[in-house]
Amino acid sequence: MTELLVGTKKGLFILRGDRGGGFEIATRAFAGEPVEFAMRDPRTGRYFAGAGSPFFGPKLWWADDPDGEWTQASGVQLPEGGDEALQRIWVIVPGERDGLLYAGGDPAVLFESDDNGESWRLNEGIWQHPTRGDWQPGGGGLCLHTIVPWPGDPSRLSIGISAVGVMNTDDGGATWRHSNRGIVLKYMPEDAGEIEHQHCVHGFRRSTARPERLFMQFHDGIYRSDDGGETWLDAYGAGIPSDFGFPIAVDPDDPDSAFLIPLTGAEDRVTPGGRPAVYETRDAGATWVARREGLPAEHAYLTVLREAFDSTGAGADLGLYFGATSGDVFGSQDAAATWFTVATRLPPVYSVRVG
Amino acid sequence: MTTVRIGGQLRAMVGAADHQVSGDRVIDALRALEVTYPQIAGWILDERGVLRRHLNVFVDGQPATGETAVQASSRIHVLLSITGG
Repeated sequence: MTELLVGTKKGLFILRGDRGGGFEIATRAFAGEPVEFAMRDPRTGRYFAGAGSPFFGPKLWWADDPDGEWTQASGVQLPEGGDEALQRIWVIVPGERDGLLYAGGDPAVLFESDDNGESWRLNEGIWQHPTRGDWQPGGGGLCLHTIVPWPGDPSRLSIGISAVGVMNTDDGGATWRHSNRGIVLKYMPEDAGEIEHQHCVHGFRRSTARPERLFMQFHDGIYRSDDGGETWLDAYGAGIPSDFGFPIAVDPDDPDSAFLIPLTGAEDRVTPGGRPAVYETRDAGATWVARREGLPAEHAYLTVLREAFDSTGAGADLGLYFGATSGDVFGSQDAAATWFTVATRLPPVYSVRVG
Repeated sequence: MTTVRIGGQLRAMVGAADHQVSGDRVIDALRALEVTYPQIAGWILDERGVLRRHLNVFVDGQPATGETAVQASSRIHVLLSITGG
């Protein structure tokens, strides 16, 4: 039995099922509210949702039973009386210590919890960062959307902010450094000189088997890092039709693997040619292969958002799931070799996470 | 004391429609309401103390802002604006 948490424009849908018997909608929560992100902490089984009511602002909720009452987490706010207000919760990620979780949001904020997500505090190292005054938002806002722990080491963490770039810490989040070397900014003039932090990173993931290895989907580029996300190498290899996209996944067993869902480009942002495909590399980005067996073969101009792609398991049993703003959700339970339809006609999908 | 009338989801959170609060301006009255009902802190006013963009307030039936003066006989009405998608 697989459980999927699907955050949509009209609430959270929890789907349960398997390829053979199909998936059922087991739960719908936050009806009418945009749920921009939802996940389940595998350590505790607790459910989390970031819901962005247009009337009452973004709130972070948790529940041990998603069909029961959800509790608003405390502390997910900016300092009172300041000049800014929290705009959106983008992502929630388990940390590498019991009870530790992170949440990222707009405007470029990182929250931390030590009590399994019931209370949160603002990470001052990001909030007070010396370069913060220069940070510029991307099209989706000044969003801290990617949080990638280092397996087994809570002192090391990488985050991604649009359009600031990658930031790394080695001291548990007390201090942060920009880590964008090697990324080519095609959207800046060639004579702009060295730019430290105007990087529109779209997302990145770390290999569990080899934590120094990461893959990144950039605004207009595909990169990998072999040194823990300090420097980045071109991974826009042969066989992939576009270097633009948002979501990314990796096979935890294979540090040379990554999966991307490219879109046509920044001006169009749909699956190329109306033929959705997940592109797979097994050679660290040198070559990419389309995996589309079972996906719509034509007339499917899908947009797959940043958080609407997730994986579970590893190796030959790697499961991959993604959703589109069309309301369709697709899955693979054989490492992208074949695909099946999980759900259709849901509201526009903002996020997909395996429960 | 000034009356604050709220509805919908917020009413469910505070248990009644009408609440008696003190304050010289709308914003002061709403802050006083948050003190009485901390569970709605951040729901009407954001961290800056600014009325959320898609909420409307009226004083005695007339459109108002956070700065609008109120009196003991005033009734502040907090409503959802016409928005969505």
